[in-house]
Amino acid sequence: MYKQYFKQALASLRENPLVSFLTILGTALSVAMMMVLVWVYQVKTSSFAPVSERHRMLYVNIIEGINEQGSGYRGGALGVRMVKECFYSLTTPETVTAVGTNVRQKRISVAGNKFVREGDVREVDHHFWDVFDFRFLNGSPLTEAIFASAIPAAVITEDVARQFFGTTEVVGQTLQLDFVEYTIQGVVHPVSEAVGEAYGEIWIPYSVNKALMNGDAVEGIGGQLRVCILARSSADFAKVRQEVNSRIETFNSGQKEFFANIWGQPLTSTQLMFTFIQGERMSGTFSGMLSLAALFLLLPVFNLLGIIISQIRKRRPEIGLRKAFGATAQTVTGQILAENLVVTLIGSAIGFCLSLAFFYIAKGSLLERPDVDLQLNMIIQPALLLVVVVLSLLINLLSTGIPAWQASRAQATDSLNATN
Amino acid sequence: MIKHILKQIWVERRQNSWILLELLVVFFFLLLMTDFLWVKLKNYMEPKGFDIEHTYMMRLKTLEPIAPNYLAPEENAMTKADEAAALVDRIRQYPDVEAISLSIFAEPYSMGGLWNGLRADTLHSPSMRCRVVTPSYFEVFRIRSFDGTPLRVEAAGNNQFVLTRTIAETLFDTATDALGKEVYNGTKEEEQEVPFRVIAVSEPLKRQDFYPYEPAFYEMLTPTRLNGWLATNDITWLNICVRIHPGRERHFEEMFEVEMGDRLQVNNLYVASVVPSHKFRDEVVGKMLREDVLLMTYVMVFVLITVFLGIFGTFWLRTRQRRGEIAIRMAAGANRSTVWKYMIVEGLLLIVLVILPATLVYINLLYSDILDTWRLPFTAGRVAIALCSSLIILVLMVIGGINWPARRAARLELAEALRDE
Repeated sequence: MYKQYFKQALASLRENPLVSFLTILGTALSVAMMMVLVWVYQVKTSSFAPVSERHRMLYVNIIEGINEQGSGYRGGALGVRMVKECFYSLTTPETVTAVGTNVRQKRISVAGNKFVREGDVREVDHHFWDVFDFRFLNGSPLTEAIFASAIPAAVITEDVARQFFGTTEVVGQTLQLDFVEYTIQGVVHPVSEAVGEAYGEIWIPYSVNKALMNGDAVEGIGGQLRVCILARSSADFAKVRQEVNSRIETFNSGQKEFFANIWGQPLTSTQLMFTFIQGERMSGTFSGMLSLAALFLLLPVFNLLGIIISQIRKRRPEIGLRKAFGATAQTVTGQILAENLVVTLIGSAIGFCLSLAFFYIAKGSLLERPDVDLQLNMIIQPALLLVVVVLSLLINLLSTGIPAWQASRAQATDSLNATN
Repeated sequence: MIKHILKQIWVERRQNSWILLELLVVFFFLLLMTDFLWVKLKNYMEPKGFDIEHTYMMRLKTLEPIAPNYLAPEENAMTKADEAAALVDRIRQYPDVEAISLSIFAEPYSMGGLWNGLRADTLHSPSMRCRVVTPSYFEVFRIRSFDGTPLRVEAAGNNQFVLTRTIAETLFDTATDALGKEVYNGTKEEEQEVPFRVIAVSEPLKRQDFYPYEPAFYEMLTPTRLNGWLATNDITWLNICVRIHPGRERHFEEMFEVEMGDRLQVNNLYVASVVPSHKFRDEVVGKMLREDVLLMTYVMVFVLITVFLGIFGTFWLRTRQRRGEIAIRMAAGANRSTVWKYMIVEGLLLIVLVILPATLVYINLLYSDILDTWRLPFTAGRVAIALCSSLIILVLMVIGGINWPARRAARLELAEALRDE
């Protein structure tokens, strides 16, 4: 039976090439635009090296420390004391790491090499390497001993190593960051800038930064760090949040003037994308993406509806005939849907290829960074195939479902009687 | 003819409802998108109030205590202000430099900084950006006076302000009135307050190209003021900005740091990098272009292509279904151009039907400030521009989409079509 549908679908495609072209193109455009949105979502929230554990990660990016008059520190990064007392001490999660909010620009130089440039330096702790899985080409992560004694040591990317030394065999050598000498501890595979929580060219222990360590904005609440929590599993999220909240409460009970508030944090990467943290409401990104998705889906569906209504109207005599021979409304609807699915699937396949091109062209606009370096594992993921299939089915159902159902319920005599 | 077509649209309302609904949605989105782009374009075209061409900003850093050559505070005889002044003096000697200024939170395109309200007599202003600058700042960024002449402050004294025209006209009636008047810093009255004297009024100022003009003022940076500020603030927050003689950019970018060498360091304070101002512009304006304007353009192109396909497809099928009707029309004496005209007018009439509802929703959104009325106020002109440009786009698309099907219909062979009927 399905072979029959398939044959009929191909026949009707050939019969009216222009309309088929329009239908396929419409579907392809819709799928392509939706896929671009899916990719933005994927790059920001799905798991791939070095954020392979994103599905069990929670983030605390900003904090507030205000007194009873409502003045103080609003929506900035976390201080060292806060991190130590409320986050490093957590027992429910597997690991907790605190990293510098942003990369810092530092002058990179190497003795005996005239080449000098500014580079992106990220300040991290020793847990960082357990939470993110960097691929080490040489050497090892920054150890607890290095962090605890604030030894100037660095992990650098392969690119930096090649640029300044001409080789990646540089463990034990030194390089200067703003004139301070750092011993190279390890060389890693580069990370894309799109991975905002881990990106850097050089990673150094934040304990080396005296200003960061000694800063105590609003009694230790404010500072320059943010926290990534690696839970044992995503099922533990509620427990982790509970523990974090009780730590904050304990912390606040010891405060003299300023009290910490982290709103609904810690949040997952998906929640971060869709939540405006301060004030616990949806962020503009979310409503923006939702309305874009609606536009991308509904507008082509509108077009397809117009075309498909006319197509089905033309086939009323045929439908009448089928019904006269005993086909039920469900069979007829199913048949039309199945036939149309062929068209939708062809369109979706083309749309998928188109979306790759679109995403590449528009990545600077979509990922909020110019010249983002995208890696294959960020783009191609098994779940994508499922997304494309679901999208095609959705488009198919929305554009063909209603007219097919209407046509199939018409009285057989009316349908048979109808001309064109 | 129009009445006749309207009647026919009404008779075929079931078939037309889809296309009407689609046109309605599309016209509404077109209004929103053209409005968005117009607001951005309008802001972008307005003069910004400063000129960053041939200018550079120097990022300052201080050596960390663990760095070699770090000078412990007890061994350092110079004050921080002296160090900064010494650095500025050395850079001023460099032949490519035309003008150099020292400032606090005043680099172009910076979005943060000092915010303060002002008070004149009984009038209070809202909080606004305060840039603390040495007099040469106006020379570096070619800032003009409210009357269009280059703004020059010869020697700055303590407690002197330069207002932008925007705030001058708020506090005093006109810019000329403001000259020489006294204003107070902060909105709360305190005892023993020192008044600031308005020594000049500059042209209106923007923070960046895509922002509207905002009230702002400059405070003159004197050695006393600098010393006071440095007592509680980090010296690396100071900005050194330079203007280079035209044509010397390449030489400056390649040679400045090499030729200056150690002279770019005074004790622990050093110039970490020299950044052309257009880099800052790119970080702010370029980001907005990429993430807002370009993105909206992509969406608009998508919508236009999709809608064009939809209109084309629908009218294509309609003309095929209406072969009989067209044939009868032709049999009754309509010639080919009349048939073509008839179909185009029908399409245009469909547009006319959606203008009113879509525009009403759009005006409502503007009126309730859901659309951006901060960058550009809600005026009849703004509505007119969005309305006209959306209409032109939609009309062109509908004519483009109908043209070919209508031509085909007009070429219909009368006898064949009538036999089908």
